[in-house]
Amino acid sequence: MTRALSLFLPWWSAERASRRHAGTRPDAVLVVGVHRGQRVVMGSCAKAHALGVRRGVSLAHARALVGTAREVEHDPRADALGLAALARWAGARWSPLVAVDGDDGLMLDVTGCAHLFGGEAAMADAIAKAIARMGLTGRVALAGTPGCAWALARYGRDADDTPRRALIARSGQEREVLATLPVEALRIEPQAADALAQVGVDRVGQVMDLPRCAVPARYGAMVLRRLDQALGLVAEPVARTSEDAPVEACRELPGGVSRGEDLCAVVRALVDEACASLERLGSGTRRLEVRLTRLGLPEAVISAELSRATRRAAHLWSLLRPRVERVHMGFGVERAAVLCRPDARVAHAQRVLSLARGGLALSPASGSALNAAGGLMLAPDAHERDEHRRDVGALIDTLTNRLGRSRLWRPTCRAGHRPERAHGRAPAEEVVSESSATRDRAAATAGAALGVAAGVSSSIARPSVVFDPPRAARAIALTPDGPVARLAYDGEDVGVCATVGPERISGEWWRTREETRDYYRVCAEGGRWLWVYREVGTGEWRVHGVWA
Amino acid sequence: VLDLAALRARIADLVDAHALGAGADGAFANAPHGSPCSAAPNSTHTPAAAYSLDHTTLDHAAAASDLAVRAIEWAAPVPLRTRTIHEFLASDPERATARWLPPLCILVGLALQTWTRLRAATGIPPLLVWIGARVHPYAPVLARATREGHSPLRSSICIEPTDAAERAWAIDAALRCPAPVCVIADGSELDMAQARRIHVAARAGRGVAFLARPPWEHAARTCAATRWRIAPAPPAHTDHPAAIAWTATLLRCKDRPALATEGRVWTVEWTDDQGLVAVPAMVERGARLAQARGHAS
Repeated sequence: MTRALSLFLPWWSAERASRRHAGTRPDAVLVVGVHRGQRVVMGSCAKAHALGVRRGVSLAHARALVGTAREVEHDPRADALGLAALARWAGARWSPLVAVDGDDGLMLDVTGCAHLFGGEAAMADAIAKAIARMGLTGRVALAGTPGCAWALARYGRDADDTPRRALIARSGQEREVLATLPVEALRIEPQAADALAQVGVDRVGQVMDLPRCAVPARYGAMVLRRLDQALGLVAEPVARTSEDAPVEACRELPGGVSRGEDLCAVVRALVDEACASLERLGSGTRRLEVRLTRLGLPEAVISAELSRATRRAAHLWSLLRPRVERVHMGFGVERAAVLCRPDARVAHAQRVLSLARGGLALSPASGSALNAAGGLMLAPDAHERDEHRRDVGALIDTLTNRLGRSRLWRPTCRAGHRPERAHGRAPAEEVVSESSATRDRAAATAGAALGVAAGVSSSIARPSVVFDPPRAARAIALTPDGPVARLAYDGEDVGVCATVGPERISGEWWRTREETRDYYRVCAEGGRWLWVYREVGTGEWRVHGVWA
Repeated sequence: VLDLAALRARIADLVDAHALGAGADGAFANAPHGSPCSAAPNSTHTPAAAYSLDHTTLDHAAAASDLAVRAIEWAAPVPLRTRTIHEFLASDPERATARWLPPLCILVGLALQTWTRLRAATGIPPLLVWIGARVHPYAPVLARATREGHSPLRSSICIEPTDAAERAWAIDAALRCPAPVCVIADGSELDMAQARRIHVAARAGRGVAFLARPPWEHAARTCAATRWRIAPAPPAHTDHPAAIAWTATLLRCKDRPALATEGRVWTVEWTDDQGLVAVPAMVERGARLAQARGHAS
């Protein structure tokens, strides 16, 4: 039985922007943005709302309604980041499944969680109180479906028609609870709600009574879908988004910075800040981006890709530094931001406290130090391995960032019959990942099963250099199908002292058009060994490789 | 002045201690450092003689079971130390053109030995970095898994720089990696400044670099500890007509200059351990030994 909890923050934008001023001036707060060249109200606090300010009215109108008000700029990005941070908090505190719900709320899947907090009522109350302690206005609703919880949080009323802090609907009660709510509670488009209002349908109960077959044609498919979701007839899982929230560190630079050293110092500090945030999350990132807003030039984006998740500021800075130093600063950089995504969990490094030479020093733990201390957290072997991976990962990052991804790869064997299909390329970062080992073993097994790798495992059966494509050759044999006596290729004509073979290699059975080849290992007069083949059907000779 | 001399001696000791050439399994050479091969200068060894040196250093049974890993054995008595550069000149006068081929079999063999020995010493498979399209080996040649599932192929990365400067930078970056690495690179067209930079990087790191150079760069100035010329050996020089063999000539040896001036030549053989056609010298010898023992008993 699913239980969903919806947390609605009606004045999120205004309260977030004015949080640091809370308690100083109890003015109304207006969140102001620009819409079609006009300054309009994008959000407001409860006080302004009570005075009649609504979203979308012009700023002049709002000023006339509320008198003196604090006006804050609309910053949707900061709102989203704040909401993501709130989602992380909720994920750590209340339920592991938390999703950001629109731009003013959260959705929590609290199935099986409520008993940990003393029941649903206690839990809802505790959440509402915690939100209130943050200086935010929040409404909490618990129901059997996310749709119903969403509707209750936003449109649920008490008996005396006042919004309540926490509302709870038992599972199976959705139909009765929803029936009295306005149609907007179904999370439908405003156009669909208007169309329903025109025919006098303004309550969800009335929508339920409409003939189902007529609704999609007249009001769109979403109306029925949302109704079914709210009633629990169509499943609607809570998609967890909290982990994906990006980490951002930014600095406004009023007047613009135009000295390279200053910019480097700012970006370095931002990288440190971002790494500290990652550390708090217990995560590392695999891609870091520096965005520089320049005067007179478009925004500069410098990104660093990493082979494995890390949060080592020194390493990240070593990758970024050459490019930050070279960036064209235009007439000055006005804003610098470092963005990254917490991609993977990175364990906190165990540190040892050393009291050598009278001073305190914290150093990353080495296996031996841990052993000596007696408190072994990681096996020394595992620790060394991790350090090795980190060093190799750093090398791959350095090479990739300078040369590009296409110039760096890990050679692999493939299960192909033909020599040219028996090898391939894999991303270089697989060298430091664990998962590729299993795949390699699988490929080797598959190759052995195909009978190709059987000879390869000795390594001598294959030359060190394989020509792609094979080079055309002319062979002279003393007798038809006899051993090769002379070989002409690449403008050279060489005598042959020894021939080993043949080794017959055909294409896979599904490649019916491919010729079967007879491979020979041929020793040219100088002692150089060549790998030549003759196509069985056509009798053509090619030099395919050399033991250089 | 005395202190400085003592310090120098101490540094030299430390450097020696860091070198791989300590003890039985540390050196690339089959023979101990102090005892050169019994062959006279400018002569060639038979592979059997080269392999006979193995038995002085390695357990016979272990050697027999580990044949695949020891497909190439380096028969020279000069240890190829880590934290330095070693150069290998291709020698093929007929192909002294832009399409020269590096002595890749030798480099692969050395890389595999380094990989095996560093792994045995540290417990962690070192990284093999192949820099330059010319030295990228055909992957199946590297495909050998150990019992623990490690494979040289799995710890290899190939890099394709566009020019000599980028190549020098990549070699430098790889050698400076704190993890143990073995760099196999195309060392053509590197000038002295770049060579010196690579040398400094090699001293700073924990790796070793094997550079392949074209035949015409035999007189180029270098910081390498050893320089070799590798040429295909005519079949008459080997025990078996189907053996793949090369002659290795020592052109320069920083530690023991006398060896280089003597112009030592050794034969190196790539044995066919699958027994496809050729019988490797070692297996043959082993069989003969067993036979002899059987007769004796």
